[in-house]
Amino acid sequence: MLVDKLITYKSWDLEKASIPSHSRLYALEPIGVGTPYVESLTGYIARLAQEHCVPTGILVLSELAPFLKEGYIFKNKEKGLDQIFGHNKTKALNGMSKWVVSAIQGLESLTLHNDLRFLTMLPWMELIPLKNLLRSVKAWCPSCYENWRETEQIIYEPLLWSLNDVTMCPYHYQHLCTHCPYCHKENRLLAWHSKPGYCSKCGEWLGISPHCNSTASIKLTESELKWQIWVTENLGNLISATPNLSVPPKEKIAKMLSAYVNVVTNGNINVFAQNLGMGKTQTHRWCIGKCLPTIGTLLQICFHLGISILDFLTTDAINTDNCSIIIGNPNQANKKTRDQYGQLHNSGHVRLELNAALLENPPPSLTEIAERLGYKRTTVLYYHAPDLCPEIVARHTDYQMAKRLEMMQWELEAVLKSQEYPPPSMQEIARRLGKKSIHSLTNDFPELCSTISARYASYIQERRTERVEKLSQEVRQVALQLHLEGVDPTASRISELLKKPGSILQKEAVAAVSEVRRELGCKE
Amino acid sequence: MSISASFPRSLLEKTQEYRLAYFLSYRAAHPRLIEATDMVVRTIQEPAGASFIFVYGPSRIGKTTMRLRVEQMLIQQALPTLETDRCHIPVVSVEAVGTESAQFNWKDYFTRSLISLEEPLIDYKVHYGSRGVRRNNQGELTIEPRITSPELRRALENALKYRRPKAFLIDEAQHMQKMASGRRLQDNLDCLKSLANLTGVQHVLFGTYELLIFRNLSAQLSRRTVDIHFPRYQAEISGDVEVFMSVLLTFQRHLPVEEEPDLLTNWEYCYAGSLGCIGILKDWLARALKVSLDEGAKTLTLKHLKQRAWSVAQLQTMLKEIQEGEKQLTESAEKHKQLYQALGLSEELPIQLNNSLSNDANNLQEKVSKSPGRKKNVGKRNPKRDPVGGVKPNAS
Repeated sequence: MLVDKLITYKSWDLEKASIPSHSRLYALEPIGVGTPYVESLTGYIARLAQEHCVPTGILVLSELAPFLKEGYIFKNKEKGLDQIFGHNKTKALNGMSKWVVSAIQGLESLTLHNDLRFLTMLPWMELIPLKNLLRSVKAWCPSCYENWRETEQIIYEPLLWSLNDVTMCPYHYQHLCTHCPYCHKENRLLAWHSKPGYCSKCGEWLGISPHCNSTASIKLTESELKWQIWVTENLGNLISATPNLSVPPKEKIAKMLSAYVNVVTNGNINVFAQNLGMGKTQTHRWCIGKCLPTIGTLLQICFHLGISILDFLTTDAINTDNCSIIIGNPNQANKKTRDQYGQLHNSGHVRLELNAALLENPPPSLTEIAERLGYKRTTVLYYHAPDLCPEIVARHTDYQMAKRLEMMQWELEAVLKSQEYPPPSMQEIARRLGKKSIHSLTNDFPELCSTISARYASYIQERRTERVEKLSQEVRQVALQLHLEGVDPTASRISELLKKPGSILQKEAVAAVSEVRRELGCKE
Repeated sequence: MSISASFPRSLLEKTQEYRLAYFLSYRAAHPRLIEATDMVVRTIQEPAGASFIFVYGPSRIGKTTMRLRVEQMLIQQALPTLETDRCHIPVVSVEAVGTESAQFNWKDYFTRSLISLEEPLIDYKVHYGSRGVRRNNQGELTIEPRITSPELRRALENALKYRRPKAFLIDEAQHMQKMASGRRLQDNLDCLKSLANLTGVQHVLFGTYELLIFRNLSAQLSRRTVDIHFPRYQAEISGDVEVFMSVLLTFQRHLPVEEEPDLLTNWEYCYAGSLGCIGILKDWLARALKVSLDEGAKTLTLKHLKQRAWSVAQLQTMLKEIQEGEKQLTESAEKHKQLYQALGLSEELPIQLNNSLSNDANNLQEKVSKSPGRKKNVGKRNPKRDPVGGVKPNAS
């Protein structure tokens, strides 16, 4: 009947589809990738913490630390970020050590972003040495902060601000600040309470304020300004080009430098270095690719060559239109250097000279040889003949030593001969010869020294005998005097009348007292 | 809705607990549940979606089942994008917890929401991020009386901003209005409203008819809400009875006992004992099944049902609550008339107005709640004057 009309309903299986695991941290978009004002990694971490509403320290220690240090887990906030970074080492996070690689891998797996390495100088690891690249304290432009706040943009910390060579804001032409205007302290790149735009020590806003007129107000001189504008522009371009660039190999700098040396100074590295104001040996090492110039040096080189650092590192063309150090006539330039430094020698010549010097007597010093050859320093000799130089130095040292000993002996013998009275002690002689102790003298001249010492000892002994004699006489006189006065000459009574009453205690005085008493027939 | 077979016979060899669990996990997809669920999902997906979706229904009608289904559907839809967008969390679901004190515990609510968002570092937010709460030396949580909810609230806002869930589902939302005063009630509402506005995440509030107070509180809120009514099956409507009987048949077939019980013959008793709420019916059947299994009976009989039925007094209280809620939702001709009179319009318009509203939600509401306003007790006629002569009263 009724049942026929009815239907039954399906069951709902409320099992949820398994969803792919989501990113552990919010996929916060890094600011300005591909622009000069790209965010720094430390700033990104601080912003990430801010968005998660936790102190930066907590985020770093509990989320990031396991990627940096194997098996590391967050225990407490004691010691702060120094637990993993060590004192003041957070600056390295914007840099390019292997350690940054693991930090970036960690952050990328937490946020599932894959472009975080452009927030650091990591892509340039091969080409730019880490030395003097990064600041160890945070720097900021208060005007930029204020501007962003007024226009309600996200407050962040550009990578450019963390570079050591950038000291000026490219938008406001003023010095970057490094001290909080309220607490006058410096900020680390990443601290427990880091928050973009705020002091990590006192928590105050770092944008323009009535208190903030310390460093920002110092005017830049014109040449400083020109240099800084060039530096910020160049580094900015370098940073902004990074994401769309395959970074050239390490040899690129050597290749380019050599090419410029060939064009500009006709292959003369020394003249090139001289015009740049750099050491010529160092410049030579850069040219042959033995080492890499720091970013500051590279900037200066590029500045003088009139080429942007980005072009220098990425193009192959040589452009000397803006170069400030073109040497018109290479021959004239060579002559000039000859006048200044004398004949410059090739390796063979130098070796010949050095070999000759090895046979010379007395052996000359290396400095002497360098001067003879017309060099100011010995580094050139070491450069040409690294094996011969130590030999010459050793010979010269031995010679010097022997000379010194001979001198010393002569001095000692003179002392013995001089019949000086009172004869000097060894200590005195060592002092006269400018020595701190007698040990080296007694080691080198044992006989001479012992003679001198013996002479001094006998003199001391003489003086002693003399003194004892004098004392005995005095005691005797006083005792007789007392006896005449009818007083028993006891030791204590005698002592009262002596010049030095304390000397009655001496062995010789006691003997003298008993002797004189016996003579006078006093009771013992 | 094809005719599904009864429970697998192999169940009979399993233990009591297993058989009971089977029945408890059986969720009959009855038409009203499907309809309301689809409505919720469709409203969430509307591009210019409302900030709030209120889902009302009597207690134990199946709102939680519905919430789970909504979650499941939203996740299913988000699956393709999840592969690429790994920060996204498709849906957040949280249960508002009733409090012992006179006000809703927002701190607790924010914390629960963050946990359900699988928020990283939530522990630290509570322990160190704010001054008031931390662990002492023994590792026990110590809570100072200072309020920390602003910090947690900010954390929740950020979490919603970055995780971008399609919807924020709040179960038992009526607990949010546990308030000592009307002023605080308004505050609570504003808090929720601003959270929804700031983050742009749709909030779906599931609750009993008590939730209606919430909805009617603020005009500003009413503009951006969509109401979805999830009513019980009502005996006065012939279609409803049939559906109720179908559900009963479904349950009857899925009761894992040796012989299929005959519940349909006593459908009226079942209806009265469950007030037409499927959730109550299932609970009741499950309890009766337990008795029957304990006894080792071959089937479930009326005797078992009677043993586990709610008392008449209890049922009456429940019914009263439900009917009050239903009454509030009914947009009777009388109310329309009042509105139109207040606006100075003609009294004839109400019906046309209702028809002109093409909003799905309103249509559904109209469909499911047109008649219940006049319902009193099951099978009893309303005290009203029968029409005499040819003129019929104008029903809405």
